Amino acid sequence: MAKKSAYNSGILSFAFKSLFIVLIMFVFSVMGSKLIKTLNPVCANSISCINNLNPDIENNSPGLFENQTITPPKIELSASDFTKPVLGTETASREKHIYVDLSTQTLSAYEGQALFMQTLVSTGKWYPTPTGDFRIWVKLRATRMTGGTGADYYDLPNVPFVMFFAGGDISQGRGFSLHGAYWHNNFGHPMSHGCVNMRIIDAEKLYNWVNPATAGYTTHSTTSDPGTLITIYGEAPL
Amino acid sequence: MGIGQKRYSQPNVSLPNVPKPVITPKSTWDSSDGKATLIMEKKTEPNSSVYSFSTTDNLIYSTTVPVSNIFSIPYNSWSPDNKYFFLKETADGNNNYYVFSSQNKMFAGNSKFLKVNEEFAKKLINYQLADVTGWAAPNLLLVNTNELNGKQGPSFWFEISSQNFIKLSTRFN
Repeated sequence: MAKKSAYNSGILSFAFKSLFIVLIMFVFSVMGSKLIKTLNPVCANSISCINNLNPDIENNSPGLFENQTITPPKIELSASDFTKPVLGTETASREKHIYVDLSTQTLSAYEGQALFMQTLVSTGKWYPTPTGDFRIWVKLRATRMTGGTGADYYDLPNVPFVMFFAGGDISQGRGFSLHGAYWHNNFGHPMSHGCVNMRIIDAEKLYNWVNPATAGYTTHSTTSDPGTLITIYGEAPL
Repeated sequence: MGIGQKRYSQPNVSLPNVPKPVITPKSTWDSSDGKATLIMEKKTEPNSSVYSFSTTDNLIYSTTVPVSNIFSIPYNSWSPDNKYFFLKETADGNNNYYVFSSQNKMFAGNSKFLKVNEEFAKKLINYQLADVTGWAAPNLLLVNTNELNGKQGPSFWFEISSQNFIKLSTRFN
């Protein structure tokens, strides 16, 4: 009887110790995962990221989104794509500023106090669009964006009018951008992996307005032509 | 007055005052890439409205409805590939959604358009149609639902080719 009691005590003690160890392992696993994400944050487009800043035009490649085969728009680069005059003249009193309201999924672009354009957008659904103040650091006439895994995997050639932004805690390497989207038409609702999706005609209009002034199919901001300021705020309706 | 010419006198009745139909200025909406335009014209008669929907190439659809029925072009009307568009009709406090081919192609059953609400009512009897927000892909409309008790329900894709609803694991608000 005493032996049985000691045996049962031993089993219970072992069970509690095992449970404790499992709990500790779980806590460290979660903390470790968070630490990894902090040290190695996910890129908006987890595969393509910013690996290629040359203009990437692929007119005969199909796209894939939500397990649907998509036909990307054909892009024929022309001389007018190479150099477009930037609309509007930026002065101290007419600074260009883009606001993205995540709550209403609205983008508003101002030149000083004057509203240049206002339109619906689609921000991050599968990964949040960051909030804060950012600047455009490079514009690409078009590029390929790939990312996600499994059913969420996407591969989208010829994404048009791409404006990468960075600032604060969001480094250039995170690959967040404003760009045209040809694979869905659900603007006003979060749909992306962190980027700000726009109707193609809206992205084109914005691309031709923002700084840096277009000077090639890839245009980097410089100290003399810094990128337009973007403020992203609010909370997306996820 | 010459020989053989008849004199018509004003009839001794009061003629009804027939108002001229009011023609609302056209509403137009471009596709996302700007390559297609949907044009809505509305003519208001005394007891009815005549709506016409055209692209720059074709008259797609025309209908006469009671004055209280209102058609509108939703923001995300055009499919991403410009092959389809959807319209919203508000009638008796309810919203009805219709899908058309921009190329005037007929749907299965030789139908000019798909009635999303009708298909929904046949196939998703455990839900109420809350909203059609736009296109998840060229062939997939996004439909949000409510549960029958009024609580928020799941999102579905309405697949145009099969006219089936596909339940999604994520709600698209």
